[in-house]
Amino acid sequence: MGMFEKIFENKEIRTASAHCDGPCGVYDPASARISAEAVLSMTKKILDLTPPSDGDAKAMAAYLNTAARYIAIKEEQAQVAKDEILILWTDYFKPVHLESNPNLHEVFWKAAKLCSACKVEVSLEHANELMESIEEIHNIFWGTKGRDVAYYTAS
Amino acid sequence: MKDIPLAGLLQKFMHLLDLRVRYRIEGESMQPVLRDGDEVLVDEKARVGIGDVVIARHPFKESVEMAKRITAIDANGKFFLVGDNSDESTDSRTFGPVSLECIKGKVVARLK
Repeated sequence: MGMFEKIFENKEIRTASAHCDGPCGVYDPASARISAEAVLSMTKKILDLTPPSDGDAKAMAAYLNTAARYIAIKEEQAQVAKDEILILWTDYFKPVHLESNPNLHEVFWKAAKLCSACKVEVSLEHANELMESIEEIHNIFWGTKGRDVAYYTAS
Repeated sequence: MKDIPLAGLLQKFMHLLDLRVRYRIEGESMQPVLRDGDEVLVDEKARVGIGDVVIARHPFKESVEMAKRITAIDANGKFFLVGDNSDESTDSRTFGPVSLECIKGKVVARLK
């Protein structure tokens, strides 16, 4: 330690704020992951449904109700996942992050398109691919913060 | 965008004589010029102009001092302050231009 540094130690240090008042500094790909997990879960549930036998009106009504609810949740959560991904892409990530992650735009574009595909289709393949994309985003995101945050899923 | 030079002996000496005040930057709104945790030396007597990075008191929050860049001075002599990393900055785009009394000093050097 040099002479100046030693004397500096006793000098007052004030704090200058250089951030945003709003909560816009708080980002976490976890919110997209939770919605994507719901999409995957609903996709599985829809595919597992067995229609009732002909003529059972009550069972048919229950079946349609269940299917409609699964579909509605899948639609809604796919859109939420897409919104969360777009927020990360356009608000959090900066040109400087592209230098260390040249494939950033490709990853996000693919993830957003997979959200749309999962919304429109009942595709287990695309729902799993969406989860893989979000894991990739998780790794890029925490990498930019220099933090080693383990990826996990709730289900 | 003007960079902040690394403090030389002169600036450090001025700091020892209390002619420069030391600030630690918190947050990313001045990226890439200043990063979270950077320390800077501030000249409270310096004249400030467009392009300078300054320490300014938040017009509505007495206790908050901010590091921002002056991007314009309006007809009434008020300063328009903007963070270099404008996506992650609350500045004059939100709280409007600030008067000279809000400007605490000019950031003249970086310590690390």
